[in-house]
Amino acid sequence: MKLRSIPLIARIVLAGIVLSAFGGFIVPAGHAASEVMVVANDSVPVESLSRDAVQEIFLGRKTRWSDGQKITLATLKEGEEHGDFLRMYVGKTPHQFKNYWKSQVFTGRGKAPEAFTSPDELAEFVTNTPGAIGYLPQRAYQNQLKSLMIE
Amino acid sequence: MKSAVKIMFLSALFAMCCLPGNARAYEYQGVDIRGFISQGYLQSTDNNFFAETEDGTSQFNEAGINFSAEVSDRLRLGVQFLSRDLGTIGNNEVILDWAIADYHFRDWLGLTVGNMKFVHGLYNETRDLDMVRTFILMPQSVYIEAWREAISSIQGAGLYGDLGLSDMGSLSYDLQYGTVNLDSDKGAARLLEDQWPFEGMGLLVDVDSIDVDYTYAGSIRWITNLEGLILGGSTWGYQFEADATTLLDTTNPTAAALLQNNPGFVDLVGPLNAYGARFMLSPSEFGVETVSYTASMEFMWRNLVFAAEYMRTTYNIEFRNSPLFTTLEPVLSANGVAVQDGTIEVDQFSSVGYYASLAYRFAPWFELGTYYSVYYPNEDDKDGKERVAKGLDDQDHRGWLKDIALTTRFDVNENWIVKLEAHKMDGSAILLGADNPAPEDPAEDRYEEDWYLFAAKMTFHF
Repeated sequence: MKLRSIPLIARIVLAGIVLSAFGGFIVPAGHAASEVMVVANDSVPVESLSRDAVQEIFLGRKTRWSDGQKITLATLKEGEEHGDFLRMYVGKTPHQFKNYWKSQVFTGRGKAPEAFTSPDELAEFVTNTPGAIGYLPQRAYQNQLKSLMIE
Repeated sequence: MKSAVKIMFLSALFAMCCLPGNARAYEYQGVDIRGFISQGYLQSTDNNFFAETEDGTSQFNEAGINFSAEVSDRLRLGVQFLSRDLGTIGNNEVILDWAIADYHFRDWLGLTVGNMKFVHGLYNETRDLDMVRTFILMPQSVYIEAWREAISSIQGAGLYGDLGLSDMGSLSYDLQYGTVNLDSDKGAARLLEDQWPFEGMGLLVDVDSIDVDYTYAGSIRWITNLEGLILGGSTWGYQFEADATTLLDTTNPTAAALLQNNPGFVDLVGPLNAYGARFMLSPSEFGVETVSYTASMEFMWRNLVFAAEYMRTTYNIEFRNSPLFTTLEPVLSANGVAVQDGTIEVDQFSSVGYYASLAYRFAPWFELGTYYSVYYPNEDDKDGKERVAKGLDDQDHRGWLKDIALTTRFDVNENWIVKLEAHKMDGSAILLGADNPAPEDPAEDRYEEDWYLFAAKMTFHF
């Protein structure tokens, strides 16, 4: 194989970029955030959390509530609220968040969070699981679950 | 027995891939089961990169399956089996990649015992996991392929934890101590053979076994309060002994002259062995002590990931072969090599390597990445001229490797990934003599200075 192969690789790379751009799939730099609220099981002994604490919890660096109860994570699999929550509170894109947890799981460092297709499933899980924390669209679930204030 | 393990391993992976439903992790009675299979292809314009890449090779794959369970709130058990192949390395033997019992006392203190993933830099623990990174080949300046199995996992015990630093972010730490099983036919042994400085004299060496005395590793990461910025430092150290067969190649003119002109030498030479015109000599021993330090930074901003790392590794190597070196002392001394009590101590030397990488996700299915990586096997001989003067190599570009890489990653769906990658290489450091034998025609160059390497890889994971 000689150097003539390089333009082929370059063409594939450029084609990928151009297709992404014209396909309208370029990830937007930012958009209006949907209203997301952080919810928890009634047994969770806090009413508010700092933004840093939310990040530590969802990256598995903080694993227990102040009363020693284990923190159980609940996440959505996809959707606008999922992306907004991760960007606002965890500092990662959905892809980065998924990769982070794959790394944890495949190196023996942790168990991936429970992931739900619909907000209803997540709400039910948080309601029934002691120590659980998750996030939901604010408008639809306000006053249905214990919500935590983020400082 | 090995075949039976391989069949069981592949069957389990295949069964998991074929189960109905979505291809996510499976759970059976509280045990999570996950796995991955990668198949790649490598082709180089010149030089063999750890496999017969000049001809193009598909001996480039990885497969793993892991089982983990939370036995209690604080105790977790897990095991991962791994099979990989890269030319003569791995050969798809199924190995225990990691097997741990992890007790999490507090967020700031956890204890892991068993066979743990080895901490080094930002990405060593995940280097078998093609699906979590942009690139196919990690930057060879910090993640050298020949060292991969030596710093893949460590058998022993480790402490880890996360400490909150209030307004300054948080700190993660890992401390590991134990040992590593190093095979005599894998990358570390081949690398050691390449350090043997007497090949030009017709003295060849083949490592038979490696016995690791101890290994340690430590890592600290500061997750700063500047969003997305992580700064880290890590270190690891090794001490090991290796036994090796020493051979005299009588087709080499220097060796032939040695045999003729040193009457005592004849007594050392055993019968002609199966390699042809090579005589077996008394066995040699290597003593190796190595310490490595790495500084790391990673910055994530939206879909952009920037990473940069710098690694410095210091080596102390001794070659021991009392009968051989004592007999050859006059010859070696004339070449500036000091022999003391049948031992040759190589002057301490350090390798340095660094890289900067950039990756951007343009779309949920498309990511582009690039890096520039530089490696010097001896920081005091960056132009390679000293190694040529000492007769360690014929070509000065064995003294560096500069690599510009460009990668495209396509996430076909949640479980399938395809990657294409091109490398423009300058230099031939890290390439192994075992993969690049000396050409029969002495006028031909053994290694090329400027060359290209192309890689393609497809991964399925669940």
